[in-house]
Amino acid sequence: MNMKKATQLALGIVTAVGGFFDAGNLATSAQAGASFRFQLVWSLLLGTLLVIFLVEMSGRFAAVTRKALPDAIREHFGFTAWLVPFLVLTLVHFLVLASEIGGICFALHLVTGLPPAVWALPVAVLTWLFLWRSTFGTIENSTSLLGLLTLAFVVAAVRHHPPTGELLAGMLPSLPHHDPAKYWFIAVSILGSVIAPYLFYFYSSGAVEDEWDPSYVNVNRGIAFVGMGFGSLIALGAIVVAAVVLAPRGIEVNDYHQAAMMLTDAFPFWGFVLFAAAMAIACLGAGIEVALAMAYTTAQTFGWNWGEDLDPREDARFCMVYTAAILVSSLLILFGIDPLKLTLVTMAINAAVLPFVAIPFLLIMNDRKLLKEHANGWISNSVAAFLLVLALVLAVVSIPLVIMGGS
Amino acid sequence: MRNFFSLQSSAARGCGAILVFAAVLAACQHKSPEQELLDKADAVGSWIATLQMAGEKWLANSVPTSFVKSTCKEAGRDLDQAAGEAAKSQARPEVRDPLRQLISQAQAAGASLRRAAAANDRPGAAREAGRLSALGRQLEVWKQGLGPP
Repeated sequence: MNMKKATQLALGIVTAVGGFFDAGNLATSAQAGASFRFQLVWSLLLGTLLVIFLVEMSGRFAAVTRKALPDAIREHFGFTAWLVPFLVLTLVHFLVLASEIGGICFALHLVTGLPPAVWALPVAVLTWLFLWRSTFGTIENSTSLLGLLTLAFVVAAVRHHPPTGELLAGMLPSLPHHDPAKYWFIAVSILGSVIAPYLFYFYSSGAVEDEWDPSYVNVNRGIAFVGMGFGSLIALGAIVVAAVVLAPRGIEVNDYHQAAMMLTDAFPFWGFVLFAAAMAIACLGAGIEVALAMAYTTAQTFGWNWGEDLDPREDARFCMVYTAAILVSSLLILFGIDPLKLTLVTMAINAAVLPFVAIPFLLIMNDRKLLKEHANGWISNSVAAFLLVLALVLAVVSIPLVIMGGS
Repeated sequence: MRNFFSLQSSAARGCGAILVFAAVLAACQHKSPEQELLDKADAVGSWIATLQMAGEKWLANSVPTSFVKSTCKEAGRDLDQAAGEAAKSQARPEVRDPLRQLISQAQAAGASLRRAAAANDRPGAAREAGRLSALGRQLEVWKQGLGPP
């Protein structure tokens, strides 16, 4: 492996670690740890395993074909067939973007004391400005390096010396001792937050922006396995901290205020500010990725010019999509929708729409004309088949669980 | 291509099935008034513990005054809602009334904690944190009196 690829691998791993954690991971992990201690760790591990394979597949596809996923799916199945999944995913991405903007606004509320709604428009402008002025490389590297601040959750978890036996037991699925509807709702929401559809579209489009070719297949594999694996450690850290700090006090996370003191036992002076900073940066990074994923998907669906490295004059419609998406999403927060409730429901919907992502994705990954020797092998296909079954089950149970356990 | 369309129409049929499933589940989710009150008590207990922690962390200089104020405000809003629901509950009065009293005391303690933090009254905040701790214990006793969850 030459120096350039080694650097890209290292940067990619940092990006994956820093980019893994967002409002959805924070909300679901805090709720899981506070309400069920370590009992839902299995859900995070399962989600991580699946997302590793899916990210690897989307990167492999982009490296081999030099096409992003939505672009290829539209070409392969036709515009009409892709239109329904595209519209459903756009709606979900819009809610995810609103959740991320809500997360940044709440973090600013923690630091300033001003209501989150006050921050909605300034945050929207800041996010837009960052996208408008930056290149793909700047966005990728700055947000991911800053995102490493979220490792504070891992450090805090280690400082608390969690009970190893209970933690290991949580890695195996088990039935809840109380509140089964809430347990399954959080389990589904964790899966929805980890297997976020925007991730694959962003990752494959990013690989095209970075001009990957088939020689990057191994770099991609390293990023997917190591980066995503370490990224999930942050979410695990948040579960552990919530389990050790909030659960014994009887605090359940039904409002972000109840999660905000999570780090103050491990870091009495800096914990509160660290939480706010980690939340703001994680949500900003994810918000930018979601807005870009929406613009990539829309531009590729309609065959427009696209690319974060292009001058806005060269891809005006691409820029218009993320501008409109950010503005409209911020209105949800401006109108006072609770950011945590929005995030939790959105994560469950993420899980519900998984078949729309999984089915065309997995069909195309088996196209040997397109991918030749890089088409899915039996391991990837076994995981894919499992994912497909899981996606269908999640699609059936997630909405009823929102009604029963998401209140 | 045809496979993809047939998958999509299956997905549409699936969506219909999900809605029916959701409606049936929602209809089947019948709980006794006491059970509903117990569920509400969990949220009340969580807010009491949150307020207590916020007070203690403020005394330890781990959180700013603005956070204590906004947490007390949010808690007050949820406790008001819980109080309203408890008042309308069909549960037996001997079960319902002690909870209503606890919620009302928690509302008062939250408001006092907010005032104490705003006035930088540290002994007052410590007193309210202690009061919230006692309320948390009383709530546990009330829940145990209702039997296993």
